[in-house]
Amino acid sequence: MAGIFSKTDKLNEIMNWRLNRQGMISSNIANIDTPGYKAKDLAFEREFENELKLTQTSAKHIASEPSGPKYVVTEDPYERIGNDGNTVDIDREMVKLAQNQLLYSAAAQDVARQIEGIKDTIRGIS
Amino acid sequence: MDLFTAMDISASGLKAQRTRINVISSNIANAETTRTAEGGPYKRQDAVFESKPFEDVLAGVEVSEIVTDKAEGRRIYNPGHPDADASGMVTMPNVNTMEEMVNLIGATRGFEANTTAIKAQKDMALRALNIGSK
Amino acid sequence: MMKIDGFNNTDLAKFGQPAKPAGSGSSFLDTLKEAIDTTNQSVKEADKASLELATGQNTNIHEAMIAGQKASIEVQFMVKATNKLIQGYNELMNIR
Repeated sequence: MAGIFSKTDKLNEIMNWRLNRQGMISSNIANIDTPGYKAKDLAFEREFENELKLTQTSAKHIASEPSGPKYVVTEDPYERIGNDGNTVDIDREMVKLAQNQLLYSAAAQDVARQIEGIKDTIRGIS
Repeated sequence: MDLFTAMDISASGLKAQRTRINVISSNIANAETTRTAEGGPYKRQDAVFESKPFEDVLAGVEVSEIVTDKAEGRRIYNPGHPDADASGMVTMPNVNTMEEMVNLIGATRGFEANTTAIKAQKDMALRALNIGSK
Repeated sequence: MMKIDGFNNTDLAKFGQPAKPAGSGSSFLDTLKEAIDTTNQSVKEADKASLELATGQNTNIHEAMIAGQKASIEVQFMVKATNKLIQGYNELMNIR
């Protein structure tokens, strides 16, 4: 059964990332006025895929999935830093919030469509 | 990390900003209070924010303390004032109303941002539930 | 000779299972049994995810939902596959 769910699993992974990113964005927004707080983000680590390829070509290694989520915490770049050392930009965070929420929902819709498509295929087997 | 943790984080933001709004409102309300129970004019206060760790690098916020600004307020000449001293000077509270208004706007904006965050998390939770609805 | 129009190895292969060559020592039924076991496992995991969601132990909502849908699909597929198998068997028996 593994083959037909590969796209669904990929979407699941993306949704996990967006879920975790939501936590990061919420933290930034909660700490909008905390002295010394540095705004952070969560990037989807594409470099992990390259790392996996290297592991597979080396004869000594057994090709295995990197354990744990493939994301990395990054610090948000900032132009100005407030007197209190806080780097959260409220406008940028609100944009991130809207974007993350929207793309999470889009992925959810994608999954629902995938599932429906697979169910149709199976219904088609008489 | 789940959406409920995110909601807790945003809720901590709401609570902290609300406390801050109360402190600022108190400053504004007492901008002219020249006599307090402790004697002397009202001294303005600040709510100090501190990160409250959740899981991994996630953090909410909390008011660690409310500090009193010990700076002396301006002194004005008003010999008729009940709190005037021997030379007719009255020490006013160290409240700059304009500055407090600016802070109030900031705190309100922060409060609203956390509200928007909670709405977003709720929306995401409902969308996720819809995956299992057929 | 009547052609048995039923479920066979290539149909199974379409769904990601490797088709076992004839005479390799394992029968078509072994492959099917494996698939049924996998399906049962998926259902168990989906039920577990659902319970953990309800009790608040693991509230990764989308993951629980997706696990549930996948299990449901696997069960549907298994039901069809076994129906086809029984159908094919009956047709075979009716030839005699």
